[in-house]
Amino acid sequence: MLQGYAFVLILSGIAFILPVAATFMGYLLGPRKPDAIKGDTYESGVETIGDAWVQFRAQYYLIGLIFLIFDVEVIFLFPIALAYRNLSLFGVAATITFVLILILGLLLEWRKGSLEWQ
Amino acid sequence: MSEIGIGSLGSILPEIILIVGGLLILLLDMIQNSTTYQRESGRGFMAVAVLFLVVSLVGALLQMLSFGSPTSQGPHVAAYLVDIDPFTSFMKMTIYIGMTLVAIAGGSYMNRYSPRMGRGEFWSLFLFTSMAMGMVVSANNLILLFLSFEFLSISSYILAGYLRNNVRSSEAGLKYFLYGSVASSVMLYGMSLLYGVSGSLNLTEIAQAMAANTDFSIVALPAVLMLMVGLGFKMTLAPFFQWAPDTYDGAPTPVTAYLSTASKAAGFAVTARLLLIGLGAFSVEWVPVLSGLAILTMTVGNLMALRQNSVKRMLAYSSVAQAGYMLMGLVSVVSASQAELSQIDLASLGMNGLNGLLIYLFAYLFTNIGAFMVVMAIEEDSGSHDISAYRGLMQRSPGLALAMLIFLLSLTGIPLTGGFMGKFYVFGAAVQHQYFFLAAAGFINAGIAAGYYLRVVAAMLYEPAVDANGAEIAPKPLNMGMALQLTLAICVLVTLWIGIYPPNFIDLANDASRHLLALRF
Repeated sequence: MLQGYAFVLILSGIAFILPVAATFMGYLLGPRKPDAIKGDTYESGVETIGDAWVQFRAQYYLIGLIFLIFDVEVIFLFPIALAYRNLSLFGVAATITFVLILILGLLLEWRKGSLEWQ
Repeated sequence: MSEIGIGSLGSILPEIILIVGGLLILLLDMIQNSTTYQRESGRGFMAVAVLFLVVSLVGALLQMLSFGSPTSQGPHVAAYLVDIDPFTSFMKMTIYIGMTLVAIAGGSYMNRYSPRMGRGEFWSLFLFTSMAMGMVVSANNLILLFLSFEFLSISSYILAGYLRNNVRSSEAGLKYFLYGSVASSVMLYGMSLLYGVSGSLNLTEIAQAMAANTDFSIVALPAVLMLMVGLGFKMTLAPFFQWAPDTYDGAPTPVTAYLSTASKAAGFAVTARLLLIGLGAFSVEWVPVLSGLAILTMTVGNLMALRQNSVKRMLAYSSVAQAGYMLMGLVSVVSASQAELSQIDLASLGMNGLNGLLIYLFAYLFTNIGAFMVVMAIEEDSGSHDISAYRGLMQRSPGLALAMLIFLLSLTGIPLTGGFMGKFYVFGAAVQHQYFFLAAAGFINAGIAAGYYLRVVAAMLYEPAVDANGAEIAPKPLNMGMALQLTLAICVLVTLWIGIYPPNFIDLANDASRHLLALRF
């Protein structure tokens, strides 16, 4: 039974060796002529303006979280919609309860002012 | 596997009650407008929360009476994802009683210190946390187990960091969160190994699949090790306990009280169920892991506690050490010599280890909640939990000092207290199953522990009260609220009641433990 997973082991071995070999051979065989422009952080891009450490508003994460919750809700509702014909009354009631709880969450966010951009 | 319908809701009745209560509090919190926030004391929310906790306690009691009578080997009701058996009922009762006590006593503290806007949220989260604990002890399916475990952890992170304006509380929440998320991801990996080899999420089916094919035993040890990371985090076992002192110290004291008792009890219940049902056939793999963790936990916890000056922090380390003793009970379920294993009927033994664990958890719950409530009373009075704040407590408030004395004696394991009964059963099981090194380590550690518990006793009883600069002052009487007095009285009474060997209660624990053991053998 466990032997069936041998290919995973072999594959992970190959996946480890290949990039290491490629990097190492490049290091071994490639010519090196460094200069100021080549050594720059973004050799082939536009010159950077400002700092790479940009602050995001904390509220951005709040909106992201709220989005995530309702996104997950939709994922749960899809299988219910597909199996709707086979659902018992109990199943429908359970679905409605699920949606109601999430609506309560939306109401809470609205009342607590999480949806307003300050 | 039974059909899911209205009837199966009975098996999660207490949890449904708690969910409804939590959502109701959220609704009540929502319909307030901003001007009433200023006047709101939070007492209304607290009353609703306590009411729903008591109702769900009644629900759990009904469940116990209808699904498994306390004296017989009750019928084993397996709904789709949860097991309602004497073991589950015992743990649910323990946890809900603990949460109710914390809610009654800790309410005024929370309402006083928590930010004005978030009082309702605290109580709804408190109910959700209780619900998650009730769920996690009854789950017999890995997915439900993990989900309710995470639910419990996430709501606990928020509660630990609840005092937003307090840096220590935020630190407590953050540390708990960082440790917890790593630990539960490792645990999830262990669960995925179990699912990978057995092809089932149900614990009983996993046990059958693992027993059917000996090839799978390779996976048992890594799976146990990874599961123990997540479970050990919740039980504060030694290599995974570093979050505990900081979190217990910084979190609001009522939250600390439940984290160190009810949440830990839930962790032990899950571990017992996972190891005894899911991996019962692989005790050779998990017994050495667990006994090593037990010895390490009690030694590290006790040695660190010796050096603490803050009583709250000392109790945090002591709670780590107590987890080590409790783990001894779980190890002692299995006999040390394999030859004996097949001959004796473990479930018929008076000390089968698991009943020791249950008695220990129950007694420890009341003792430790009581001790943290005393810490809370002192903290509300003097703003400090340093040991110097406890000096002269006997003159200032004899009742409080005597209550703390009883709790500390119980934690030490002095006869006639609940802590002694727990230790007696756990150590007895270890000796009976020939884990002499384990019992010896336990006895030595209990001796070390007496040192730091009695230091607080000495400060309370014999040393005069001092002010912040160390100068002696006249003892000033200390006032406590009614709710706190009531809770302390209950905790003292139960601690003493278990200490006098109550036959009914011991029967209940025996029955719960036999049920889980009978499933395995």
